[in-house]
Amino acid sequence: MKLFGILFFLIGFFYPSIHAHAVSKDKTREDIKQLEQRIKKLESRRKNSQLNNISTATGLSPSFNPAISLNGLLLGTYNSEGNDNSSQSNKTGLSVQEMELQLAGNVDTWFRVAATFSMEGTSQFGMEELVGSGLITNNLSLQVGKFFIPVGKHNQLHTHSQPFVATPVSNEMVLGEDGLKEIGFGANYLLPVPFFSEINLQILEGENENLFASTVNDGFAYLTRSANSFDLSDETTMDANLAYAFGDNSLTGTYKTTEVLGVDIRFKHKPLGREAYRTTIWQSEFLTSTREQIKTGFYTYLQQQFAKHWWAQGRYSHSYQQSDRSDQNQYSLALSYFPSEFLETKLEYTHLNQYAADENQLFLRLNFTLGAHKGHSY
Amino acid sequence: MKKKSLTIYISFLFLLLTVTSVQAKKISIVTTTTDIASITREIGGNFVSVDSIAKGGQDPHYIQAKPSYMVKLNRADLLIYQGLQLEIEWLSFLIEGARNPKVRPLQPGHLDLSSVIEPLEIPLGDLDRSMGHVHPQGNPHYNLSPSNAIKMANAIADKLSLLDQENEIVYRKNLDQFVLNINDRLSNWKSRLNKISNKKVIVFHRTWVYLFTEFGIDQIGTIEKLPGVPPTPMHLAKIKNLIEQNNVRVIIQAIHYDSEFPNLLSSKTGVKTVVLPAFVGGVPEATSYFSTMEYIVTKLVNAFSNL
Repeated sequence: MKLFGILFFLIGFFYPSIHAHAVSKDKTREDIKQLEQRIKKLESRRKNSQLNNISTATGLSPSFNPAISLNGLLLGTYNSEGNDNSSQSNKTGLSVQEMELQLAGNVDTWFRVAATFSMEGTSQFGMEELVGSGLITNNLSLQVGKFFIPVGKHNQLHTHSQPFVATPVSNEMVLGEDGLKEIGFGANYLLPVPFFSEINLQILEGENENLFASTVNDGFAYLTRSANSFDLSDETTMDANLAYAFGDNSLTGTYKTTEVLGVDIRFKHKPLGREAYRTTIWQSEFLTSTREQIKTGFYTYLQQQFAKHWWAQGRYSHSYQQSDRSDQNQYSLALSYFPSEFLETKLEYTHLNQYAADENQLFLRLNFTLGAHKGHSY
Repeated sequence: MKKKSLTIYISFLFLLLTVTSVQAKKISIVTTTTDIASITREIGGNFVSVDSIAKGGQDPHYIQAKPSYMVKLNRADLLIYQGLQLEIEWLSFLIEGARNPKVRPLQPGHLDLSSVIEPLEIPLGDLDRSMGHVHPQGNPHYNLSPSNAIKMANAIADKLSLLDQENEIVYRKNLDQFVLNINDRLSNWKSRLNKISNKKVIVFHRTWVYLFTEFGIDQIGTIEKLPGVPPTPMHLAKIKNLIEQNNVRVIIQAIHYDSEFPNLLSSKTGVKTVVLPAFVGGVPEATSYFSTMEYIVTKLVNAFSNL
């Protein structure tokens, strides 16, 4: 009886700790069991996803899809001259300024393609660019397709990456409202010199109605360009580019050839380190074309990033047409807010001084990019 | 006399030719960050010339793809980069613009160091841009772990040995010395940081995950709402509460970030802001990988010991 009492006492004394130990062991076992179940689930999910990937049989593999991105420009415009004049490019109202769809990827080891489709407004859908490029040998690359022609800096930019909503009057006058885009092919050669210096040679179809549009079958246009960049310091870079293009136009006789010249210069100052969000850019561009008449124009602008997400900028642009001695002066001021690299809101005021009535234009634009859009080059 | 002059002249010419040929033999290497450049110099020694695109005080997420960098890459025999999308905004432009077949992907002159480390913080599930500047393959700041530096050095030694088999012995010897130096210092850094292990800290950006994992420091929050996204007032209030509830005494930020938000929290809670270089060259004292790590360790130890 005494022994029973002692045993009872001992069981009573040690039971809680034995029980606790057993409970803890059980809990560990339970945890392990749960973890094992999770691993099994994940393994099965992985196996299923592999089973779903039956591209060998179907011949379809999403793994090799091109990078796809969509850019949208939603624009609100006020024009002091109303909407009576049909030739007016910036009318009061709300619009989809442009939607741009881009597909890009490697075709094979040697060839890369980027296609850009754009829709102006909500109905005019068309191909903006289709560029194939490949590296031929050291320093030499080739380009083929439809692309923006590198006459000046502005003409090479897609609408969403242009710094102002209003197109500079100089570009509109010399290259036309849609800019200079051509079908053709070209070679780019990086010169073996200590600084960046590149030579471009291009043979183009010559379709631009403002400049070429030859009715003769073999009426190609030709372009040569020298692009140069110098680092003045670690923080300041100067770019200086010169482009010359010529080609047959729709006229005959003395004026059957059009010549185009573009010169542009840019200084960019971007401090290193913590002040990296204080970039300053000064860019100027001069364009001229000679056909039956001479058209010239230039713009100059200053952009200042004054905080990580904020830019302020101002531009002056001038154009002149020799035939009727008409000129235009365009003054623009803009403020941009970038919450991220993929979203921008811009408020812009432009004053257009011209032979017809002066225009005061106010723009508010939302610019967004969806998907795998590559950053923009320097 | 004439004979002597001729001998001196010929000797001089021979010396010049020798020097030129030795110089010509150097492997020209472009790295994206200064940490990679420093480790590469340790391994390559006199047989390499190394140039980094990003400077030590710069944020390597946002480097301008300047044409002069294309020229550097055009002349390079080898490109070494950090990967995990750290350089996604700019590196592809440089590779395309360089027009140098040697440094293109899959070529012998192309080395992505992220392939040799174990990435941390690989996000789970589907990703989209609402999650901020997220890195789908993992956090790219692995250079701040000395153990990873050893892995990086190994990969660099392998690559240099492949490109220049004649000097493989030198690269292997330099690698052994580098590993020895890191391991010597690592035990010292560990014993000093041991005193502050498990201390809770707030960071501005998730720059320090590999460093903290290696040395056992507990990161409990980030001032950025999401990677690359500045904090909202509500998020700042949440971080302030986190600081107060967990008795956090230190905020850590990389030198290339603005101190506006850390300073704001500091003024509200009394927490101390410690600004550290995230790469070699971020501060004048950080002249090599070793001195950068030494600077970081010293600053961290001092930050906690002065509280």
